[in-house]
Amino acid sequence: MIKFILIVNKLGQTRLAQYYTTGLSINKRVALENEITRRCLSRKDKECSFLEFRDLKVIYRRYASLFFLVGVDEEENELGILEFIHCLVETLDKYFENVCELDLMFNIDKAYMILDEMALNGNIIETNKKNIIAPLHIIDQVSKKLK
Amino acid sequence: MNKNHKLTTSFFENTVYEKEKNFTGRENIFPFQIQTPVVTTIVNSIPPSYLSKDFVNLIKEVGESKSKLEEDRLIKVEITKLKKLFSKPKLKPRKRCELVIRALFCELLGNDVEFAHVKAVNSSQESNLFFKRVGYLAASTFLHSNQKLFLLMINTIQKDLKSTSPIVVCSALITITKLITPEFIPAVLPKVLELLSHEDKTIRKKAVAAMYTFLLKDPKSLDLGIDDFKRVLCDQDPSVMGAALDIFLLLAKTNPRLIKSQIPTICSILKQVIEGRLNKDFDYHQIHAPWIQIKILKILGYLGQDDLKASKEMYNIIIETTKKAEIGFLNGITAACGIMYECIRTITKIYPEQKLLNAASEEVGKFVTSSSNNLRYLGITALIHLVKAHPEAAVKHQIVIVECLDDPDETLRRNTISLLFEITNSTNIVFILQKMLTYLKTVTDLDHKKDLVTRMVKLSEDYAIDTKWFVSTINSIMELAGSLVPRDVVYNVMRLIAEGTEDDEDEDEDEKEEEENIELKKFAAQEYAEMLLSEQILPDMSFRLIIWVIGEYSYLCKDEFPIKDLMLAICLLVEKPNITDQTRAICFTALTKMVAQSGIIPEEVDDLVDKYSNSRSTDIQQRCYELRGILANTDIIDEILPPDASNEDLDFDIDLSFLNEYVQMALQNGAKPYITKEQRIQMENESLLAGLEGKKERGLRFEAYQIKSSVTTNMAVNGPSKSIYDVKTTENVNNSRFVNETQNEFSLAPNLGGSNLNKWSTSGYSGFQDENESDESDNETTNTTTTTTTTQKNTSAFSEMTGFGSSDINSNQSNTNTNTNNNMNNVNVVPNFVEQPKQKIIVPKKPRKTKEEKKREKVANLLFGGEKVKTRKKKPRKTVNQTNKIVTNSTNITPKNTVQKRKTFNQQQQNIMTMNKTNKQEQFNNNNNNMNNNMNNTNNNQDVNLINFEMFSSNTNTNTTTSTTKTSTTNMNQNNSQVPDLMDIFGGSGGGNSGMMNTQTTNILGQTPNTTSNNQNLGGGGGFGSFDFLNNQQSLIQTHQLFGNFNQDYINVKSKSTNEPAVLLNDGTLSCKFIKLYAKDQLIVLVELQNIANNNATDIAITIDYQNAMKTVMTTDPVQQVLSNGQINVGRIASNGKQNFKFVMSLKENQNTFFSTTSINFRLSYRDPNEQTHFHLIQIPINIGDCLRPKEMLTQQFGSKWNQTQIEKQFNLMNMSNIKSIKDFVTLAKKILHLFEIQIIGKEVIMCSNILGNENLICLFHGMITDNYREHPSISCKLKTNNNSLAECIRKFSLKEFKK
Repeated sequence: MIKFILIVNKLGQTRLAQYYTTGLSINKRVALENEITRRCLSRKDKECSFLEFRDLKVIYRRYASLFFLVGVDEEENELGILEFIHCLVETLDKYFENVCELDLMFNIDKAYMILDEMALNGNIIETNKKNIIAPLHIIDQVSKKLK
Repeated sequence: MNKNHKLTTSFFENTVYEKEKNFTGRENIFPFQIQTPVVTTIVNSIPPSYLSKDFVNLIKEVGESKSKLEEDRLIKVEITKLKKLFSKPKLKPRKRCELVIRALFCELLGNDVEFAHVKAVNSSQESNLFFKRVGYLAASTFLHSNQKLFLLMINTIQKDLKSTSPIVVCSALITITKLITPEFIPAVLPKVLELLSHEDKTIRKKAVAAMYTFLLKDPKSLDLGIDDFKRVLCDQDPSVMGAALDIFLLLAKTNPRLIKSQIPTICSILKQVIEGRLNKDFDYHQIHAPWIQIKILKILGYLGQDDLKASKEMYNIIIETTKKAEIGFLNGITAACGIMYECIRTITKIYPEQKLLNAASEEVGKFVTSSSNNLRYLGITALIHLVKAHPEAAVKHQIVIVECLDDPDETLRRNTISLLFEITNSTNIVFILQKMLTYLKTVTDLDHKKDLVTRMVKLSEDYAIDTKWFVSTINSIMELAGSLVPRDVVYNVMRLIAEGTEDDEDEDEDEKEEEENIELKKFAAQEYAEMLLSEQILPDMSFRLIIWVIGEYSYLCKDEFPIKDLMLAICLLVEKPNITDQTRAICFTALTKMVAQSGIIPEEVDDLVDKYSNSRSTDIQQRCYELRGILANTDIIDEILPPDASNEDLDFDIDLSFLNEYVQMALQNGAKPYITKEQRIQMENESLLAGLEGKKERGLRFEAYQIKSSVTTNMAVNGPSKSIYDVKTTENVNNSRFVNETQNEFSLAPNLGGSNLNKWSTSGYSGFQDENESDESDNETTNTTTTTTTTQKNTSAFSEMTGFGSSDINSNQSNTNTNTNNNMNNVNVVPNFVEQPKQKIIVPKKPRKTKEEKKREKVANLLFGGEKVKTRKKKPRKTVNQTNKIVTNSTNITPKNTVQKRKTFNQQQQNIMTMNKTNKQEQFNNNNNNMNNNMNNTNNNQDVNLINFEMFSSNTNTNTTTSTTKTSTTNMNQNNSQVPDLMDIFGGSGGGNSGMMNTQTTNILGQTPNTTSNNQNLGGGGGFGSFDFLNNQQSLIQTHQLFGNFNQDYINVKSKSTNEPAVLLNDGTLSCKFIKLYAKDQLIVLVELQNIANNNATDIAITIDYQNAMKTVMTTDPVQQVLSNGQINVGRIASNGKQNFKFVMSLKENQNTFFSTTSINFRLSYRDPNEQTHFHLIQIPINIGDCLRPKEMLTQQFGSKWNQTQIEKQFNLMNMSNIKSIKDFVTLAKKILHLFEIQIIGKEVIMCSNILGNENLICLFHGMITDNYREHPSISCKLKTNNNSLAECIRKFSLKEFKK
């Protein structure tokens, strides 16, 4: 099961955070994010994309300035998650057309919505990009009418 | 707005975005190659039109900020702005939506935006699609920490689930998955279930996800069978199927048995997937739906675990999947690697199959030899799983493992260490521990370090080559991570050093061992001396070990390390600021020992002792004074502190018997006797309760003191020191109790003295003791019993008590019942009482109530609605109520009855029987249907609430369990889901229906009762028309006097907690068993009378008397005529023949008084082949617990009911030895009171039940484990019902039953 999905930049600033476990206070969340980010940032390119942290396994992948981190429990398939991250990036890329950090910041609501389409309850629920993006476009049509 | 809706309804067929189909993506992605679709150029980003300039600027600034600090500062400013903007009145939805997004952004960056929570909820209530979606989104992110607000959303969600717009429905469903709590599941469940078959696949998918959430958060909320799950799994859309797989995975983990039948379906899905029969859109980098494959493999892993049959079904498909994945693996496609890794994991998880394991081992080789660290890491992880089933797998890859151990990648190293733990054995332990110690030095993560240390210690304990090695290994670990070494390990090391190895096989080896042990001690002393002198800073625990060993064994290494040096080192240590007082204290003891051993006392030590004699720690002070004391008496040093004596056993006088004399002296001088802690607490509780209305008692007393005589008698019991003036409640109770009992006894004596002419066998005597006990406890626990006894005996002192006893409605109910037993008691008690009058005095006595007490009770009765004042309970005692006891008297008489009477009533009885038959049959059939339906609905038969086939056990009992009840028991266990089989338990084959409801006629062996001959055997006239057992008993006594030589079989049925039918009677000829069945609105008692002897038993007659507390309908099998007085003439039962009875008990209409215990009574008489007539009295206890049924309820409902329900009872279950946690209590409560467990919250539990057949008469139960200062936990219970009598009964019953 996925415990959280996190996007941070190389300065350790959070750009997106979705938790699938409840009961984490904001302070604890910030502390956790800082600690994990610090560890990920200190790792070298050649080293493996996994990190064991307390009872969590963190699977991360770097895309230019952004780190995508996914915290999972023991039973999750590491490579499956690694590919899920890539699938997520491809989807974002497809939706934002050459996605960049600022896209995510301006459209934080959309980024969350994409994530909601792909994963629920900490389970990967959809990886078909067409299916993921379709509802987003409907919402866009409504939001674009707003001035 | 309408436009929006129109648009959205058709959006899934929308083709506007078809142009994007040609997305070429990055098909040739090789594993771990870093892609760069994300670029940081700002040029490309165009902020959405709905964001205000203000916010766009902020984001730009944040984007350009160079540090977290700068970012934080910017956000702080933004939050102040937001607060102001939010507080503006008449906020337009559009603006609010924008603000919510901004708040979301701030929250993301780690700020609390509580002020925006309500606004997010408001936004979700908008009808505009976008506002709504954003509102839901923000709310589901915010409200994780603020669940209360979810209450506001539930309405909107319910409404939105019915929307025609797929987007709206999906938004609601997504929010459900994120925020729903168990208590709200019922509010949305029906609609979500409906949506499972919605025509839109996206909605179906989300609905399945919501089902997963429900299942996860409250598995009980879903009442779905396997077919429902299968339907969603077989959805035509792959995404829906993918989501359904998550549910199956969850079920595979939590309830694998439910879905085992679906293995073929799941396998065929996997087959379709790997053959590429899904839509091409689900392919990912040329691999067919990799995530679905992984999910299925995981499910198979769980289903095949320890299950050969299930595993066999999946072997082929796993091999096939592995082969397909291998192609992708060789092309370097990550997703394929993932599938392959999952295959290996599944293979190691399911029932081992050599071929698969070999294949897995081969695949692992490909992983570990890969150049990618990711694959190597997974290879090692796979090996960890594999070596458990296939130990030689690791050997093949040993070189790689050693390589990985030295890899710079920390994650990889760590994983490899985990592998080492799995492959450690006694041959490689030294090497592995060495490697681990090297690794331990590099570890900085505290959690990991702790874990590592624990495992290392365990390994060295398990595989230690010798004790020396073990000690030095533990030392090394302690040097590196001393504070993490568990305390008991340190103590183990101490013990090991002190005791050495323990092999007492040979005498020859003993000497050798002795040498070895001394060698070990010397070695340890040297090691620790070195450590001490090196002045390292070690954790406290390590110091304790070091100091203790040096204190004990420093003399063994005095050549290398002079004792004086060591003493000085210890002195230095004591002065260090960072050690604890406990360690300091140990230092002083060590110094004492060393001084004793060496005979020298350095100046420094002397000064130190002086200084610490005034230490703030009393422990240290004490030890210093001990040291001084020993120094002053050097001649006894050797005796007190002989060298190396830590193993010697010391004798302790736990009873402190040497103080007896002193205690006696003190008592004689007027000291109060010791009251145990338990008693004291009891007293406190009592006085607290009494304090409620007894405040004025604390002032001056105007009444006369207790009458002297009773006090003196009491003193004889409690010792001479008891102060007569100390007439506190409890003591008062004590005194008066005694008086009561004595009076009671004496009043019994004259009545029954006449019957004391017969010789009583030993069994009779033992029967007496039990009776006696039960008598006492009756008096103690139930007011009613006492009342009955006393009124009967006309003890005037108690007539007043009867007055308020009547407010306890219960008393009337159990009157008859009590009569029976008291009378029986009378018979038994008296002869013994006369023989051993002294015994009576020793037994703790029952109080007679003083006037104030009575007054108090009266007030209390008014205040608490009849609840007994607790002062009456002196201390928890074995309370054997008469109903728990089945007493059988065997005499030579046969039941007395007149032919005439029988004949007169025959006809009538038959009529009644027929009526009953028809009624009952209907009722029972209905019941059957109910039950069967229920069985079908729920798959877990054991949890069915309607009927609980669990045998009645807590109350029943036997000490003559020799009879063979096994066949019926097994029958019961196997068939406990089918009602028609119930009668089989006792009835044998389920044959024809003789016109009686479920009884069989096939077993008729008895002849038609020969009434005439039966009557000829009757001992004499004086038939008893009514079932007054008093009369019965008296005639029994009369008969008893007539026939001198009658057998007495007292069969006391003791508590037994098995699922077998309880045996009521087994005298070698007849055996009688019974079992209780709990139907929804009935209590069914089945009784079986069986002839277990080789010969026929003849002239069997039974007279039945059920206490009229409940409506009871009896049926018999074979059919027998029941006479109006309850007599049945069974006649003959051949060897192994049976006669069954069935009592269906239900509540009377408008019943509003209840009993805590009642019973069904039998009188059984028969003639054995030797023409001897036997007579038995049998009693089947029925208690209030039997009449309660679990009532399902939600926490919320409970809450509202609790407030509505008026009558409340409180009681405490003190010092419950059979309860360790609240769970134990719940289990017990379920068993005893048939409560439904609503929720356990921490140390509290809420439960509920209703009285059978009446849903409105409920019992709400709240139990809490209270702070525990005793050996066992105590439970404070509160119960609320809407009937006072019921509440009181349950309270009484619980107090008695839970203690068992």
